[in-house]
Amino acid sequence: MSTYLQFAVFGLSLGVLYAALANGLIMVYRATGIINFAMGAMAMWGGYVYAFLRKESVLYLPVGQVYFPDDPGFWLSLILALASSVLVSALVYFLAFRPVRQAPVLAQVVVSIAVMLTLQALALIRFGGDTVRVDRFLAADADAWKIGGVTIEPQTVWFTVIVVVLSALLWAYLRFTRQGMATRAAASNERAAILMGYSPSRLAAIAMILAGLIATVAVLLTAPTTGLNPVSYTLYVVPALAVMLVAKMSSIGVATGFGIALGAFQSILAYLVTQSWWPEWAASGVDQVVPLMIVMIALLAFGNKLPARGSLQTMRLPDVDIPRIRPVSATVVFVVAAALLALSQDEWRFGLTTSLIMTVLALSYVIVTGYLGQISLVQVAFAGTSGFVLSKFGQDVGIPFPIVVVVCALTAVVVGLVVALPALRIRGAQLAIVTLTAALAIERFVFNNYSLTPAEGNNIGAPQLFGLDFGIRQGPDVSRLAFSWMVLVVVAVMVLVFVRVASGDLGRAFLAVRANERAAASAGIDVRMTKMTGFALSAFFAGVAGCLIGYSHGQLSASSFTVFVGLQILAVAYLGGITSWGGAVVAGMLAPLGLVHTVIDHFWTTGNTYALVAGLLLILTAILNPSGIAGATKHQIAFVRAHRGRRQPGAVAETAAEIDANANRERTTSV
Amino acid sequence: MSESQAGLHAHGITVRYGGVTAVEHVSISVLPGQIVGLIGPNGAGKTSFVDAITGFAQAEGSVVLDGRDLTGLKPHQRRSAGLARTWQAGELFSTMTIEENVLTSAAPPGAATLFRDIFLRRPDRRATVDGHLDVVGLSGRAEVSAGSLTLGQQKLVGVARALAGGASILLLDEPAAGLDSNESLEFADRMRRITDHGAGILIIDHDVDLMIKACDLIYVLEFGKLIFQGTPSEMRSDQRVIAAYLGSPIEGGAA
Amino acid sequence: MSEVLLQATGVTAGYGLVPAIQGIDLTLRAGEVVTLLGPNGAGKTTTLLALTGLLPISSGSVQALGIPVKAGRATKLSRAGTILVPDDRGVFPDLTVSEHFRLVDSRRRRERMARVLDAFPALAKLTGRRAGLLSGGEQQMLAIAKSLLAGPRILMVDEMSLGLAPIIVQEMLPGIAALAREEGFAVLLVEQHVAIALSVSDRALVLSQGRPVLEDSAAALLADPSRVETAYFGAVSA
Ligand SMILES: Nc1ncnc2c1ncn2[C@@H]1O[C@H](COP(=O)(O)OP(=O)(O)OP(=O)(O)O)[C@@H](O)[C@H]1O
Ligand SMILES: Nc1ncnc2c1ncn2[C@@H]1O[C@H](COP(=O)(O)OP(=O)(O)OP(=O)(O)O)[C@@H](O)[C@H]1O
Ligand SMILES: [Mg+2]
Ligand SMILES: [Mg+2]
Repeated sequence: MSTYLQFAVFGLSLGVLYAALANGLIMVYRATGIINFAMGAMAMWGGYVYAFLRKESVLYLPVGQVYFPDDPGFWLSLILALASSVLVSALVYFLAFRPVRQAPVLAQVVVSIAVMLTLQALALIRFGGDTVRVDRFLAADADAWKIGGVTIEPQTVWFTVIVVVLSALLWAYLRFTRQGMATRAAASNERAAILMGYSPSRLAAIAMILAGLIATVAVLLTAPTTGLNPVSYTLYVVPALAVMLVAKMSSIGVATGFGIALGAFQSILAYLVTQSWWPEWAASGVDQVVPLMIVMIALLAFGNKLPARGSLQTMRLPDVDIPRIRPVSATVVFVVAAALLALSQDEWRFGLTTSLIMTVLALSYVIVTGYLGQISLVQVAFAGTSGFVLSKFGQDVGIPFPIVVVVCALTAVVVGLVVALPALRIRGAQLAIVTLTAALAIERFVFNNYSLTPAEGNNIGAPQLFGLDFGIRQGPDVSRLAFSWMVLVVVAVMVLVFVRVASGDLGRAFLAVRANERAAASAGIDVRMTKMTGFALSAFFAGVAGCLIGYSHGQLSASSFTVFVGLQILAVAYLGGITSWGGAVVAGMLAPLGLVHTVIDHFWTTGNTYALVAGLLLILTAILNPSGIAGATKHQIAFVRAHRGRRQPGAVAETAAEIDANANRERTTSV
Repeated sequence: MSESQAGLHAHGITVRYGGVTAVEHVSISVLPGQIVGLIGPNGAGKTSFVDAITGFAQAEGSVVLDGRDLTGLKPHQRRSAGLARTWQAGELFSTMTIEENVLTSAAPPGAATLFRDIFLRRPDRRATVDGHLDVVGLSGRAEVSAGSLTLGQQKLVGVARALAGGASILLLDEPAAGLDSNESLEFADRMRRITDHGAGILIIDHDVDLMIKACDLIYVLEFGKLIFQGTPSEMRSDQRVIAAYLGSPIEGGAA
Repeated sequence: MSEVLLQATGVTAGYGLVPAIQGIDLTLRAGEVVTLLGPNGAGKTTTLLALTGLLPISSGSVQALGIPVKAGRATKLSRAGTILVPDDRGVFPDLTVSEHFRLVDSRRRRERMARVLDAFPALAKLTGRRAGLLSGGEQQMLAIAKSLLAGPRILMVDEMSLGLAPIIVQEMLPGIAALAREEGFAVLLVEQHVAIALSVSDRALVLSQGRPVLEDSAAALLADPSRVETAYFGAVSA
């Protein structure tokens, strides 16, 4: 028993970090309605500043640095660290979050993910990727206490007390001060807050700063035990997000308690998996799986099937143009693509082929996020699941080629249906959290589990049909045309299926559910079944893409399906245009290892600078085109048409004015 | 189906939210061809009553439609059975056109929809949609985006959406709020045209002129309980209704 | 004559390139109640948004409480006492009724609280309930109550009686008019119930298709309601 308690005490310092990050998340969410995926990355900045002030007497600013003659000492370093946290929070708010405060939730998710990727890249460039040791924050001179066989360092107690007290202060601010109440108010109805004489951006900036401060303090407390590492600290946001969900996105008290408990519990688990009776295949990633389980159970217990009265339904949504099949242009596009594949070679053909495959993956986002309105960050894990099944079993069982792809994709559908369960209860940005947690759990538990997936990867044989070899490699040719054409045919079929569904009754029902679940139910739509169908369909698309990715690499490697890859693909899918297959094609071009990547790789060497620039460009594009590149182009076309129409006399002019008015109405609500 | 079972029969409906009892043992019937009014002070429980019988709020009591017991069914099942409603705040699908809004309820997806969408030819439903839009006076505007409509027009589209897909009883929650006096009197004629085709209507509205002109029968709720039930002219002179709701008695006819 | 609180001359504003209102002239004096009438889509809401700085004005000018109205000054204007109840009611679904009241500056609140709750007895029983859970009419009462609580100098209400029971409207409208005269603030009402609105107003302005078509004293219009009706269809009259 005392061993368990001892490990629980060890876990307190991570728990304290989770609690503080979760409280920061809640604060930002209640002030802006944005889920700040960059919370961990923002908090880590102050930690690095402190560490390098003490270690090298250098003050790092986002750009440039200041040298001190010698160690500035504890208090000055602390103050400077907190000041840089204020600076980072203010910068993030005014440059990234404020511009998208009225944009669709998805735009906000993308921006906050982009901020996370940017800060992580910046930290890698500025501070390096190695784990940095941080000096103890509070002196450890006092003797450890022993209570019933459990050793407790006094500083552990102090950490906990500090974070609990700061959390209580945040709670009191939101709950009792007029400014705190106005902060909550302004997030739900900015215009009404202005009409009551408040300045929503000032309130939100203050909340962001407070959130950054509490998270930074927690990092300073925790870093001496864990060391600072840009990847792990960025990802600490995931358990914190789970905590935030359990706290129903609002209760600081619950978040504090549950965050600390989660840290302790994970520590006990880490001890348990080292025991001999624990199955080896289940040892990897348990610390990620458990929070997921807790969240799923909590959601199933508390969530509402349909949004109740008084839950906000005024979500802003990207526009949708219902697609139609135009046989002539479809044939032209197909032939041109086939010709391009034939004309290109080696890396270029590979890049183009990868872009085609990624188009299918992006289509799965278009279905589930663009049409059904459910923000899912787990699609890449579906793809990985299907590819994993292909590599593990597809080869031995002996199912012939095109059918084996369908079978593997169907296994992704099964996983998709499980992940869809929480979507029946929650929506919007909250679902993004659950799916992110699920993606991380699948990654750690399956793909990074060496007893399931050996480090060198599972081999995947070449697809063959009627004695024809569609493999990617043969002898010296590492990018065969036969493979690329096979991919093109598969992609064409998938696009066709998408267009049929999107323009049909099911597509319309998806859009209805996306816009307003209550109203959809009152129109006779079975919201549950529609969501399940959408998730299943999107998982199928992702599964097909996963198999193609597997074939294109000749083996399955975990690195193709990481959480970060998933986030990147969501981001490009969103930028391409989350509501059309054209957008999916653009996304395919922009995707990792796709055509654009090939071009850049050809002319420049890529590295952390690339990640930084990509992150910054992502923020910029998302701010400038909250409905995506394809959406913005559509607006411009509609605008030009309307203006051409106006010059013609009579009835046309009237409809032109109407289109114009509509376009503007949309702009006022979606910018 | 016996004569007495046709139409909507909600019996003993009670709605509680935590400690608040919003509707208490209310029984209301709407027969085919009838326009029935439901009025009452703000917060009397009118919307809650509609939420309860359409399955959107937990409630006690039974709901029978055309002889079929709907108690315990999910909202979309009640809708498919013919019990259609509109919402006090419009609640259209704002990114879709008027036509698509109406089509959602004309063709809700079922088990075979995925297959049908991918492989089969599609029926042309434009004529049906136009028919429903015509009833509410919005014909010819099918392609307009629902997000650009004024509140009054949104409510009318809501009515068309409720009509599509076959409804034997329509529950309309403040459909005329946002219409000016002339338009709302016109709306009374439109409702009559709907009931002439055999549907029944339960309408909630605070426009007393409209209610008096349109309704065959009026129920009045106060604090969740029925306090009156009768014809519009009886209601106009009922002292309890005047005290709870009407204020000064209304002079005859429309203003 | 009493002090001029708001002066608008030749206001043109709209969404994008098509102006929704054109050439609006309006003067509001202390203690005065003015009604803005017009059919659906006439531009009433747009006018209120332009007068409070929530929508940019493309030509013309507005002075409210000595402050030139411009887009981006809405916070400043509302602090000075230009208070608008928008047509979407502007309540915060997550806040309770009493939290809405506490958002109002405490000094002003204390003086007026009892009086406002007197005017809306239904609200007094709902103070702990989240605004999102209130019925439509209760939300409307809350919206009006909180703006009265703030002690307006210019009060603008869009669709005041929307969703309210007749008995409430009959008591509230004269109540607000009386308060305005007593405290010397100006009221600009947008109403669909023409008769009842005119009966408590001093003046009325009728818009049709974005242009002012009729302005006269409420008494004169009440005496001859057909003038309002013809103005609705766009006929300009003296
Ligand atoms: N989820 C809830 N929790 C607590 N109280 C609620 C909830 N939903 C509604 N109420 C309360 O129940 C009462 C009845 O509300 P309802 O919306 O049915 O009134 P209504 O008759 O439609 O009023 P109105 O004419 O203003 O629309 C109101 O006092 C409302 O505040
Ligand atoms: N956000 C917007 N974008 C584009 N056009 C708009 C927008 N809001 C209103 N309009 C248009 O401007 C015109 C005036 O609208 P406004 O809302 O001011 O009318 P209103 O008199 O308040 O009507 P109602 O009585 O229906 O509330 C209408 O034609 C309307 O379609
Ligand atoms: Mg109601
Ligand atoms: Mg209006």
